[in-house]
Amino acid sequence: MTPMRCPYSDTELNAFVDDELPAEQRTGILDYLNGHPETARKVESWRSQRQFLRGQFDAVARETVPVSLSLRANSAIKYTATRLASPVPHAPVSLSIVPPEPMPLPPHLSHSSHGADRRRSWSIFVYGMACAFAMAATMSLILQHGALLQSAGMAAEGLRQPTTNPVLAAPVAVAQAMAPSEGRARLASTVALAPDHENALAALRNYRSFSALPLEFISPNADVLEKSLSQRLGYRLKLPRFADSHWKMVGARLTAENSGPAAFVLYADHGGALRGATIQRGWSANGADSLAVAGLHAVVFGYHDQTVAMVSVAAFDEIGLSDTVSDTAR
Amino acid sequence: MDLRQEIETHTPKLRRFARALTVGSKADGGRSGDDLVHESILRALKFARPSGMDVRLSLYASLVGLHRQQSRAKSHLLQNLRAGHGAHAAAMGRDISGTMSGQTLVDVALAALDLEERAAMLLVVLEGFNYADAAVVMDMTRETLQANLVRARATFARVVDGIHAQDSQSGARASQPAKRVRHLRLVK
Repeated sequence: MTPMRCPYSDTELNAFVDDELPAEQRTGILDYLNGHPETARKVESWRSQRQFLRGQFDAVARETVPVSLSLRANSAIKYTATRLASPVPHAPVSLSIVPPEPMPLPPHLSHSSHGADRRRSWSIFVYGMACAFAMAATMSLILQHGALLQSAGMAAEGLRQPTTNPVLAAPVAVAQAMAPSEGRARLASTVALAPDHENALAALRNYRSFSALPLEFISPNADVLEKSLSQRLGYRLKLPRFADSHWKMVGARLTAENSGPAAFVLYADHGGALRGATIQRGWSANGADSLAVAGLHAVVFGYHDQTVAMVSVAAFDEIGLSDTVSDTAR
Repeated sequence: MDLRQEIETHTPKLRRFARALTVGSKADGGRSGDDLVHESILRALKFARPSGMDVRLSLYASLVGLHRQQSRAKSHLLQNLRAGHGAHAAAMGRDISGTMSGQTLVDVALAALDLEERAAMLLVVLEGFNYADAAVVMDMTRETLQANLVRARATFARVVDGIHAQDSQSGARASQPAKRVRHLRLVK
């Protein structure tokens, strides 16, 4: 005797599993499944695939989105640059850092039984401590050299040379006393003057990505760099060349800005000093929607075994960027 | 909600989908999946509003389209993985004890699917799209989507069941008591 053939196709049964059938057809299939355990098992195995797949991949959806994919990360950077450039308040500044949320305990003190939670708590704690250190160090600098912050020329210096930048002097000294990677991370965190805990973490993550991968493209040929960047960005980017100055383009990488993806370009002079700028379409010095230089933030990272601190806006002020922007925008 | 906020809302799930879609290239720690997400976001920033398409659908459609392009270039690799419905891949994915971890099992089962089947299954089963939206994302008719889905589910179940059966056989062999060695005698 041959087994009775199922009156429902696999397509219908799949639609049943996915709730894509009208109610009456659904009821009919339910009745059929009650009397046919073999088909019911098959349907149940399909249904269990959802839990199976989600069980394996849901962890990805719970991960922190990498900074390269975060459109929000740079809002903190922009705010930071504004804060650095703005006059220092004369009101007393408290050095205690109070995060908006209770600081999670390190894993060995946590009562959480879930390993993932504990690891997440620990990473938040580490970030929190780094940010607290950053803010405390910068606040102490502000107290010591507050008036100097208002000066326009926040020239950045390589760590191997004595720096004259009051903003970076103390963190640089701290960084020099530490191992290179740890030093860079701490140094990066000192410029994360974010308005709150969340933004501080976002800023720190962004700087850390710069530390991990300062440059994506390295070429002495500016045309090649410009072409590579334009291809990645999806629009034609014109980079300032500084033909009459001693600044030469060294390399570049993509970065995320508030208004969209942008290019971070590194220049070097004959003496090996480095300057960087964030350049993107849409922000123009002369109002035209062509080339714009968005010097948003200080960037600190290692380059060729040097820990380098750079401040984009002020650096380009020094070499007359505003004139150059008008030229290249045409 | 502005476009950027909306994209950010969808990014975690988009990463999950991309990670599952690119199981054949998982050796890079999910970087190829994130690259796809990155490109999809850039496209959505550019085209989502002008096209009038729902942002979520636009993101997933870009990602599927990009993955199709990339997969054509390395289709021979996927063919290798599919050979024998994962028998070869299953052998690769086993740990020393001969059993397979959950993640590897899913990877092998997904790698055994055709690209279109995998995308259809992940959209509906993992991401919870309804058939109409999934068909829009994959740029195909609802009927074609359903056909892909039926094949995907059947293949997936077959591969998973096959691997479980192999595991239980090897487990049973391992649990059998060792045969008595005849030339040794127990002495007091």
